[in-house]
Amino acid sequence: MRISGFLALLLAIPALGGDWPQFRGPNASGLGDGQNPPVTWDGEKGTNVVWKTPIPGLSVASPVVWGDRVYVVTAISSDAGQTFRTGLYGDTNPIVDNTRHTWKVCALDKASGRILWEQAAHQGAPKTKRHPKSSQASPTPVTNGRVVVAYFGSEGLYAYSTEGKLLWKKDLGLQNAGWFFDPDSEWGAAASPIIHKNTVIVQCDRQRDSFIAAYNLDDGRELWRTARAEIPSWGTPTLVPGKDRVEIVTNGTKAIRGYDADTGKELWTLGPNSEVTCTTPVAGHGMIFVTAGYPPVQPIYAIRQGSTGDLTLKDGKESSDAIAWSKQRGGPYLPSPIVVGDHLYALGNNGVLSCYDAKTGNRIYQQRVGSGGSYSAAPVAAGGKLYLSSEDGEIHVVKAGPQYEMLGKNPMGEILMATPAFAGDMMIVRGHKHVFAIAEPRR
Amino acid sequence: MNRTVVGLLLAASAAAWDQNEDLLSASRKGDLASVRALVEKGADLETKTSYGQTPIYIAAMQGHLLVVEFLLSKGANAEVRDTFYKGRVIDFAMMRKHHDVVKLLLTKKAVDPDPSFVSMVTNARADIVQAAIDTGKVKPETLTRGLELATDQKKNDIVEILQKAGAKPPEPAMVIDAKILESYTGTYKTDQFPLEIKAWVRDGKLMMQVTGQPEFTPRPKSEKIFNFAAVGAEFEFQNADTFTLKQGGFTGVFKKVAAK
Repeated sequence: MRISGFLALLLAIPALGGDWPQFRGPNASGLGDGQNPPVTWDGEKGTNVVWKTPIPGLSVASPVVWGDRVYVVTAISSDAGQTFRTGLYGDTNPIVDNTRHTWKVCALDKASGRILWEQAAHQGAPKTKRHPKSSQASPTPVTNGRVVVAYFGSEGLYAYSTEGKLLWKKDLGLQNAGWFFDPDSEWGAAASPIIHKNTVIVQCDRQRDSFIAAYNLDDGRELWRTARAEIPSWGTPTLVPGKDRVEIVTNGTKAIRGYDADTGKELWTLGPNSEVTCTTPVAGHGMIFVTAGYPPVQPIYAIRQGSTGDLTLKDGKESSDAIAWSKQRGGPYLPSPIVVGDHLYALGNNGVLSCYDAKTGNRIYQQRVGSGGSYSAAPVAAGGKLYLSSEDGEIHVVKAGPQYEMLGKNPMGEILMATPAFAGDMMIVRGHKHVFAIAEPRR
Repeated sequence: MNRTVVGLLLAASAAAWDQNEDLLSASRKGDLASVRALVEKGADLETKTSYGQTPIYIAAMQGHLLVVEFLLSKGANAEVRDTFYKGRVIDFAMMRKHHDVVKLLLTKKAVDPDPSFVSMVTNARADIVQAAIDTGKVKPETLTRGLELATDQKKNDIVEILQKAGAKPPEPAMVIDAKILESYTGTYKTDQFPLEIKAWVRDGKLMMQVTGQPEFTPRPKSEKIFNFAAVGAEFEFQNADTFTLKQGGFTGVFKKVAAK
């Protein structure tokens, strides 16, 4: 199908203020700049809760927002007792639930939370197991306001119109991402799809034949595919627009890599990295920050944009022409890092928040948030505030800046695994059982 | 060396590599017939994955008892450690509750039970503890440490086994003055890494908890020194606001950041 000149122009329009098109918003920044969500609310009592819509099933995927719609995905097991196992533990055993599942994509009205449409993308027994902290619908969907793409790992890639019409679907094969040490310990896919121009890009790191590929948004045609010499990974790739090129930055065990977003050509590699990588790279100050938090190293790298070749540091070095600064300890394991103003924040699974000078890597503070819960969701920020979701169901609001200051602790009343989204002055939170819209009443 | 010979050698080497890969794969699946056939064809019993796991390591991790038994009968080394976690076959089998495999490794005396004995007392069943003792390789001091732990955890069946095996009864816990114990109450942190330890008093005993982990009762050796045998940890209070944690090769100074 040919795209008319008018549509092609429309496709090039970037996300408008208030849209949150993918995991962690525009370019995975996690920033709701210009938006001002509240500091206090109560998800249980309803204080500052605009709406609360029940969504059945399990998902750790974030909501995405475009215009007047919120899109969420879910996987509904026939076993109603399925839940998340929260907390800090090292158990690698996956959840085996071979019952029939229904994978759904839902569109909600942003103003009321009413479900506008829902589509069952796939039904059947899951092709892989899942991690106890994860779900069968973990990747966050992505939209450009015209197409909504949901990725369900082994169950495929699905593109819908914003009215819920299936445009195309694609089987990407078995995505048996799992523990490197035991290929039978399947944990499920989690890297979210991203949109670049008129393509949707998916990073598929699995036990064998890992790859990254781009598909035409109109018909699902594969436009390029680049093999990755990688073991399973779970971080979403990040698009980093530069002067001459748009890079896709991927987190991976064998190497952190940059690719040309138009062609899939590998531009640079960097190691060493953790044996398990889950976080999403984030850009700021002309640098790309990549972290990981599993042995043998838990690095934080500040990579200068536009670099090329093998960027691996020489033994004993912490910086180079391509690496502004780095550390081999302190990288977070599950929550992705965030850059707010001059600072890089890294939240540990144990709720310890570290604040670094983004330009130099100097650590400014390290502070435990809350009273010792566990954290999987990535921090997001808006209006000079960081929003940190604990698995136990509390969202902590911390003032952004060099001084740690807790502004609010807000109960949601249910497990929180997904990273929140922003939509104007609203924060959209995906809990275990509900999607919440949080905002102060208009005056 | 002519091209034909080089070609033959390369082909033979590739075939051997394939056989070894197949052996690792069959061990993972628990496919005894294939494991047997591959070993008979000459596949390497000690072939390793990139993480240093051998066929017996993998079979034990997956709980494939018959494959483990066969590989042991062929002389596979059950003391091998992987190169990533530096773990032993028995530790992974125990962690995954493959009790029949653990028992087999012990009854065949294929592994030294001593390094894993405390964790057997904590996590395993009485028959496993008995099988470990029956190897005759658990050191007397390890038996005593196990008894101390089993007594604390009120595992009466294991206490009985350990007593019969000659473990020395733990010295009666010292009674520490309540005011001293109360003075230790609080939340402690170290600058060395992000870890928080809480201490409080319950039923006249000092209780402790590391964030995200179960609470435990360290045993007093003196008014200032407390031990937690399960993980080989010692807490030495310098004063009411500071203690030093010694565990393995680690020494960390923890300071009180909150009184309650």
